[in-house]
Amino acid sequence: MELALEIKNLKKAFGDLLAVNDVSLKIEKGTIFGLLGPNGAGKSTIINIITGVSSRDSGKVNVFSHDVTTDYRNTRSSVGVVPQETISDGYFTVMEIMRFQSGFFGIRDNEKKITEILKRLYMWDYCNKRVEHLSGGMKRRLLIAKALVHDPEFLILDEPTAGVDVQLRHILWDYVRELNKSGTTVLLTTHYIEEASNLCDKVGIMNHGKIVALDTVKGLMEVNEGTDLEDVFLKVTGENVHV
Amino acid sequence: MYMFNKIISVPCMTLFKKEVKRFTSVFKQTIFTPVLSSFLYLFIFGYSLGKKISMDTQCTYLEFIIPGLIIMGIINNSYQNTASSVITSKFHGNIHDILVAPITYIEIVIGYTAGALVRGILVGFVTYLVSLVFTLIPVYSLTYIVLIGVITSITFAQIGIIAGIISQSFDQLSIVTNYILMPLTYLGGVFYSINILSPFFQKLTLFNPLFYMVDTFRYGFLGSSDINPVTGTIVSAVFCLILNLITIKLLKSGYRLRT
Repeated sequence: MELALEIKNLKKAFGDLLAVNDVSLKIEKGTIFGLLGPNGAGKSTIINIITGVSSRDSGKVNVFSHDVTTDYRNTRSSVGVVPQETISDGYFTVMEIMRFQSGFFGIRDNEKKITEILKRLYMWDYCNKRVEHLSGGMKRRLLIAKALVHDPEFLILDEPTAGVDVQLRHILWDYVRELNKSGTTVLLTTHYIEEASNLCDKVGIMNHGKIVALDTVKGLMEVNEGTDLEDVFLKVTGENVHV
Repeated sequence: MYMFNKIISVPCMTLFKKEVKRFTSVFKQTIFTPVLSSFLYLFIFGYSLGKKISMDTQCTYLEFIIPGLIIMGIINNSYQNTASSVITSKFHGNIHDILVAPITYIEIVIGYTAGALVRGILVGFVTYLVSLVFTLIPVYSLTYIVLIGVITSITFAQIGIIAGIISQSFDQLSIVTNYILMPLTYLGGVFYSINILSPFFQKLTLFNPLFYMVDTFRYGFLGSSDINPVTGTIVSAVFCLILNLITIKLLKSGYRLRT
C-alpha cells in the first residue's frame, strides 16, 4: 500500500491554542480523503503544514515518503493546493497567471495543459481578462485551475466550494472524480457533508485539533450508529457545541 | 551552462519575468514618474540654481548632481520594486503561489532582485538620457558606473524585500521609506560633497553606507571622489553581501510569511 500522505504525531500551536494536537493520519495513494470538522478544528492548519505555508512544532509529515520540510522541493512538486481564501493578482490576466504558475512549478511550455484546464473549468472565454475583473466564482475557478497546472499527483482542496454556486460545485466534483480515476490522490475539506459523503473513500472528522473519527463513510455510520454522515459528524463533534 | 540552469531555474526565471511584467504594466508610475522628478531636480537644482553654486572641483554643480540623481533613481526604484511587490503579494494573498511552489529561497531572492535590477538600471539609464538635455556629462570609468550601479541596485532590492516582509501594513512600509531610506539617501552625498561639511558630520557620513555608493558611482563619471573608489567599492560590496545573507535568512525563517 503506497501512501500519498503520512502524518505522525503532528502538533502545532499558535500561542496558547493547540491547533493540531497529536494528529496521525494516513492517506492511500489514489483515494479521495475527506477531512471534516467545525471551523477552527485544525483542518486548514494541517493543509498549511503539508503545503509549506505553516511550520510544524513536532511530528512527521511525509508526502509520497518525502518530508515536507527537509525535502520540500519534491513534496511541493507533487502537490497542488486550492487554498480556502481567494487570491487576487490584479496586474495580470488569467492566462498570464496560469503561465506564471506553470513556471513556478518548473514547466516552461504548458499551453496545452493550461488550455485543457481552462476549458474544462469553463474559463476559456475569460483567459484574457485581468483577475480584478473576474467575479468571485471565477476567481475560485482560477484557484482550482492554478492548482492543476503541474498535473499534481496529490490534490488538496481546502473548502473549494465555500460560497460558490451549484454549477461550479458540479463542475468541480465531476473533474475531481475524473482526476481521481486517472490516479490523483485527493484530500478535501468541506462543510458540505453530503459532498464528502458522495465523494470520499475515507473520512476523518476533526474537533479541537484532534481526529475524533476516521473510517469509511459506511464504517463511521455503523460504529457511531448514525443515520448519515451528518448525523455522525454531529455526534462525534458534539451537536450542541457547534450549532 | 549546467550551473546557470541550476541557479537560474525555470521557477526563478518565472519570478523574474513576473516582476518585470508587473512594473512594466504600470510603467507611467514606475518609469515615467521617477524620471520626471529627476528632470525637475536637474532643472531646478542643477540648471537654474546650480549656476550660482561654485564647486571646488573642476566640474559644474549640474555635472556633480547628475550621477547622484542617477544613483538615487536606482536606489529608490530597486527598493520600491521589491518592497511593493512583496507587501502587495502579502495583502492580495498571491505570496501563497511562491510559498507552495518548489522554489528555493535563493531562487526567490534572485527572481525578485533581478526584477528590481532591471527597473533600477532602466530608470538610472533613462535619467542619464534626460540629463543629456542639460549637459553632456563625461564618463571617466564605465566599469565603476556599471559595477556600483549593479551593487547598489541589488543592495536596495534586498532592503525592499526585507522591508516588505517585516512590514505588516503600508503604513509601516512608509516608515522604512520615509524615516530610514530617504534621510540616508539625501544625507549620502547626492546633492553635496562631504568636504563642505564640518569634520564631525564628515565622520558621521562615513557610517552611511549609501555615501560609499553615491561617491564611488560619481567617481565613475567625474574621475574624482571624496573617498578612494576602491574603498567605496569594497564597502558597497560587503554591505550588499550582508543584506543578501539577511534576506535569505529571513525568507528561510518564514518570518511574517509562514505561520
